[in-house]
Amino acid sequence: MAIESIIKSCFNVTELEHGGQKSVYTAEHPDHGSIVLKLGTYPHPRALERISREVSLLASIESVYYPRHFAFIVEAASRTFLIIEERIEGQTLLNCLDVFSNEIDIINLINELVVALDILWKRRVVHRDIKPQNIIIRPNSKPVVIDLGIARLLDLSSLTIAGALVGPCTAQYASPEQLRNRKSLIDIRSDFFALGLLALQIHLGFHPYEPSQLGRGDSIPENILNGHFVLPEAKTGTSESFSAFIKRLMQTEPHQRFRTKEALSKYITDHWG
Amino acid sequence: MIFSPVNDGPDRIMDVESSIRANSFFDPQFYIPASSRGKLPDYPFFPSTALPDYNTSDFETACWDIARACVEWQAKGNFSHIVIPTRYYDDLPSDYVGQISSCYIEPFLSAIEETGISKSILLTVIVKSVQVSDEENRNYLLNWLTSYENINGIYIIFENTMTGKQIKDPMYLAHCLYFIKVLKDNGLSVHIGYNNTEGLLYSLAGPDSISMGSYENLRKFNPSRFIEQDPQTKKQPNPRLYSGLLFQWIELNYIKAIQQLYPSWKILFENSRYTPLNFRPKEDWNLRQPELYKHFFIVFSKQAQELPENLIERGNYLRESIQRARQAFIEVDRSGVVLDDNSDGSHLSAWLTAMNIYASL
Repeated sequence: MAIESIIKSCFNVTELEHGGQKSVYTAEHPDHGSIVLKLGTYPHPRALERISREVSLLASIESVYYPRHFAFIVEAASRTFLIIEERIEGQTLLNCLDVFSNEIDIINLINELVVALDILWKRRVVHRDIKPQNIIIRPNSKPVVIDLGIARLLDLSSLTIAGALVGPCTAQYASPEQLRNRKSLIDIRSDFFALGLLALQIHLGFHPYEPSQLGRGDSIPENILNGHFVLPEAKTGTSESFSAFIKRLMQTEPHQRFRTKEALSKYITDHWG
Repeated sequence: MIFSPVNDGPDRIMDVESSIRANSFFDPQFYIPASSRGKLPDYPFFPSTALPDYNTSDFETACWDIARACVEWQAKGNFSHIVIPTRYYDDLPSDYVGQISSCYIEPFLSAIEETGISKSILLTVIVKSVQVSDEENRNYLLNWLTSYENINGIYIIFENTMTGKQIKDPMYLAHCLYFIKVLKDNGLSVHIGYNNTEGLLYSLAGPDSISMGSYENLRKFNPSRFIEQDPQTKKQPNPRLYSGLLFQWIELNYIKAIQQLYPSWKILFENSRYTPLNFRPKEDWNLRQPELYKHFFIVFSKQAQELPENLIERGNYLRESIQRARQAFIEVDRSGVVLDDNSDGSHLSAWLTAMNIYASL
């Protein structure tokens, strides 16, 4: 079915966001109910391959932590694609950081995200783009991970041009090894870094690497590379366990973070039950 | 124990009592893959046996079958671990990590998974001095070694190219300790091969095992051991006796001088049933007089067993023991015996400094 006719078959189509090569809409689909439509163009085959990987990955997952994938249509003549996914009720974590008002709530969220991401990690996939905008919080406070656009399958060849100074990532939430595009060092520990950053941002109420908050550095990525951030104990009443946990996740070198998901989960269990 | 295929053929190793094999591991020693030294050719999975005209490009194709054969043999031996070998490089190639990953780690992990063996997996790594001492190199290596979730431990060989029989660089020793500690903090077991007495110092970082060479040429990693040698170029070491008190091997000629000039000489050397014989060595004593080595095994084993379990207490204990050793060396020197660099206690100040540096890291 052509992309245009699929869109025409939906109703209440509402634009959510519009980017350079992609627009995202919400809509009601006659068969799937509330959906998200991702309509875009791809400038070259390499870009399509990245999109295809994202779609294949999501399609292979059946979990409450990820939106269901319904369809992926490509029109080669116009280099246009359409992705149809389940629309998740809730709001992005960016818009509800204050819902997680204490350490236990934050740890519970991180724990849920670890369970969610472990579904990718077991498939030897690193998400690489964990940030508040890519997590939807359902009304029951459970997280849903969206946007696997730059998830990296560790066994497949890279889609980033060799020699690129920075690999695919969102610079404000990327680990040092991502910012330096050290591909051989990007593994699940890069996601651990982002989880730590996320937890600390929720805890403090602001981005911990933000120069204006930290009082140093010219940019967030620069501070990430140098390992300079506002410490957890800057907020009064922070427990030692929480502080140590966050600091370990946010270590500059991967070998200083938790090595495995089991080690990370064990720390959570040992300190918070 | 660590079984060494360059010294012992497969049948001899398999004849060792199973309870000993179960508490030991087999080092495949792929260090020089083209080697046909010693008993290596007796192993069908050794690279130069599997590929008679060994070359790197053929190995890149054959490594998967070789890995499978090596893993199956190790499984048959029921050793404590399955060991993934490594190769030795004089100078590390720019794609060192890529080459070791593709030719050794991935084929071996794949073979282990296919055969369904549930043993603990050790990865061998030869750590160059620059990878210990230079922060960027060290971080890169540590990041890589800790990235394999299904590897349980690391079999480390610290390659140091320093001259002299003891390591006297405190920064190097401190960074070796740090290296071990980082691996332990990552939940990996750590086994260190080819050590001299600095193995006692390395114990401060809590490794799971430290192997000490019985012969002098096994107390430091030397790749030439795996290359065919002209017998005439083999140089026999001078006879030396180990003193636990001094943490040092003392050359025989100096022992005679110490006996002559230092009245309390007997306290410097521990007693074992082999001690009296060592003071009347025969001329060709080295390989034909195993008493020197048996004495070392007994003395050193006792010394290792006396180390406290708790690492902080162990540090205090070692510190005190080293200070006693330094005092003993001072007294020997005062008696008129001026020991050379390879028999004196100059390494001990490096050990103490290394301990202080390590504590600050």
